[in-house]
Amino acid sequence: MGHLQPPPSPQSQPLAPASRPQPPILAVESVTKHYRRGSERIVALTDLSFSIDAPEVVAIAGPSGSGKSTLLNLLARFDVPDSGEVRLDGQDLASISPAALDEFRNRKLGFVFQQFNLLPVLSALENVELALAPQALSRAQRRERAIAMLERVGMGYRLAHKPGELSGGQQQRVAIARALVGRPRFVIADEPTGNLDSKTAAEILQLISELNQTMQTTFVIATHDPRVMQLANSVIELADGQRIG
Amino acid sequence: MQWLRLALLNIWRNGRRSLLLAFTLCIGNLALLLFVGYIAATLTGLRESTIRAGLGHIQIGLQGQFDGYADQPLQYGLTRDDQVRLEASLESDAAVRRVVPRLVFSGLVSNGPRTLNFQGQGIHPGRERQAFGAFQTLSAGVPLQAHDRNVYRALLGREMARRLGVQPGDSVTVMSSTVSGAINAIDVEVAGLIATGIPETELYSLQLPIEAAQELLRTDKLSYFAVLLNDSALSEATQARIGLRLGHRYELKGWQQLAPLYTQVLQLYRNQFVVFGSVIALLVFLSVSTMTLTTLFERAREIGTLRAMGISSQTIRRLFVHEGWLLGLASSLIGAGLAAIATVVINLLQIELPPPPGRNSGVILHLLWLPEYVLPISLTLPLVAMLAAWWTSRRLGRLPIVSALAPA
Ligand SMILES: Nc1ncnc2c1ncn2[C@@H]1O[C@H](COP(=O)(O)OP(=O)(O)OP(=O)(O)O)[C@@H](O)[C@H]1O
Ligand SMILES: [Mg+2]
Repeated sequence: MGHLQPPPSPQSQPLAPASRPQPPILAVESVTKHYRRGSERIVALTDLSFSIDAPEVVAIAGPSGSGKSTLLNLLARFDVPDSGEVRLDGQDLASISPAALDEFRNRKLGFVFQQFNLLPVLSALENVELALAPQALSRAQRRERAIAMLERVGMGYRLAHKPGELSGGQQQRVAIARALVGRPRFVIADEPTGNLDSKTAAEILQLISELNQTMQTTFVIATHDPRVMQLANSVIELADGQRIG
Repeated sequence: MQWLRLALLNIWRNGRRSLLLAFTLCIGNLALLLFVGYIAATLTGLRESTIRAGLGHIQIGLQGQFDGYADQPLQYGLTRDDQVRLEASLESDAAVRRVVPRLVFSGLVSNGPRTLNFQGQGIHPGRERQAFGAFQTLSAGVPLQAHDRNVYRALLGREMARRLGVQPGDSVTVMSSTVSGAINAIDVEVAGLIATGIPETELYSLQLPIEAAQELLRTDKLSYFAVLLNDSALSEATQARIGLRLGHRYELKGWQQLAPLYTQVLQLYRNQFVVFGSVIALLVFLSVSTMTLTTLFERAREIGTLRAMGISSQTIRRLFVHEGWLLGLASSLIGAGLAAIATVVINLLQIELPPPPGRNSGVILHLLWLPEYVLPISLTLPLVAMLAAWWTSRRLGRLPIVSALAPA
């Protein structure tokens, strides 16, 4: 296990990777994670495995304390598993050096949070532009891409508004634009509808579903919200750190 | 650029906390600038009054003249030859404003019943007044006159006259030993009383026209020339240049060597400033450090979000550093502006201070505004603020991203 690429067969062309079997977008293999609180050992995830092979919306479901956030933290490489492997596009996350982590997160991942987490002093446009800051783009290019993305989430008419001047749903749209403006393959969301009323939550989920299809972005969403599970292409159900569905 | 803007917005967002910090920095810089303005004015005043009260910028005598040791009076005096040569050489120098001859001697002064010792100076009244007249104050009587036929007149220190019980117009006997060791005496009329504000000189000073002093000592020699320059700032350079030109026969003393008090006062003030400045810098450092720490925890979620977006901890740290120096610079400049206004106002108010040590008359509080000090001092506190923010925000790298993101 752990081979990043299958050995090339004699007939295959080395310059034609499309002809090789693609690694899954995300592979979680026998992952175990525990925390220590004083002398107490808390098992957060036990021998968890699953994989995502196509750009999908994946819901991580389960009661409080079941290990959803723990799993997302491992996917974002905020933390490493005690054992097992998390591979993104075939790359073992544990192999990414701390120095390369910023670049990895900026290029490959996007985040959407329950509390939106927009910078309150910046406008919607500036918040989205900020996600492009680490990239070697001109100011004009950043602006252009940020505007295009905001239009895509239906916020083109609120570019100059500060988060405080936007509703929760609008803020979450801006946050989704910020997560997607760098065109990551992968967006991680922890309870993205947790702070929204049900009508707004439904609209946000509709947007996520649209973006998943048009931008080929994979969404992994930890949630208690049954609507997310309805919408998701697949649901991974956790209980006490173990997969039960 | 975007980080600078974000830093500015964050300062603005912190509202009251920023204001409090700005106030500390502003007052700190104001205090430092006023203090340095006071020191500069005091030192400049001390320098100029030292020089213009008769010391001159440079004194030139024969090698050995200033050692304070001689077997007989004027052993190291300037001969007529020396006098002519020196005067010609000095007066042709563009940096030189005045050349004043002096004869230094000591002896006893008596009005009959009472006798005191004195430190005497033979002077050229006209040239002395041209060079130093503005700074010489008499408490009574008239100065020595330049073209007076009667050279047997003297100025006595105010306290000396009081102890002798003499007034202008009275006669006293001045005794001294001649260059050959004999005792000589002349009678002179008291023309006026010298008031310097320095008790010691008011007790021991006695001035005679050079001709009278030379007659008393039976010599045609002089002790030294006091040289007044056009510009105090060029004193040392000019001294070196003239010294080279005159050669080894002569010795030159700069005013700082002749008035060691100035150097001591300078050192004292310098130490005071360093202590005072360090206290203020420490205060600023701690304030900024506290604010940075508070902000760091307050914005933990925001920082976690930026880190999750792949923005490096160094970049975020730079944000805090920007906040430190921006706030520091703005408040420091305001402090400097207030200091400038305060300087003008204080100088206009003519506040009188009690006499400084060694003086018996009060002085007017005066402040100087010297750009060469104002600029570096005003930049110091922003630098300290920046350092404090930089130092304190080093914790940022250790902040776990996760804890910042968990739903509350
Ligand atoms: N940093 C930590 N230290 C100690 N224990 C932790 C830590 N983080 C999580 N845990 C524990 O690990 C288990 C899984 O927690 P996790 O946050 O993943 O649950 P969750 O499914 O996200 O719950 P919720 O729906 O309430 O967000 C819980 O028992 C939790 O108490
Ligand atoms: Mg959770």
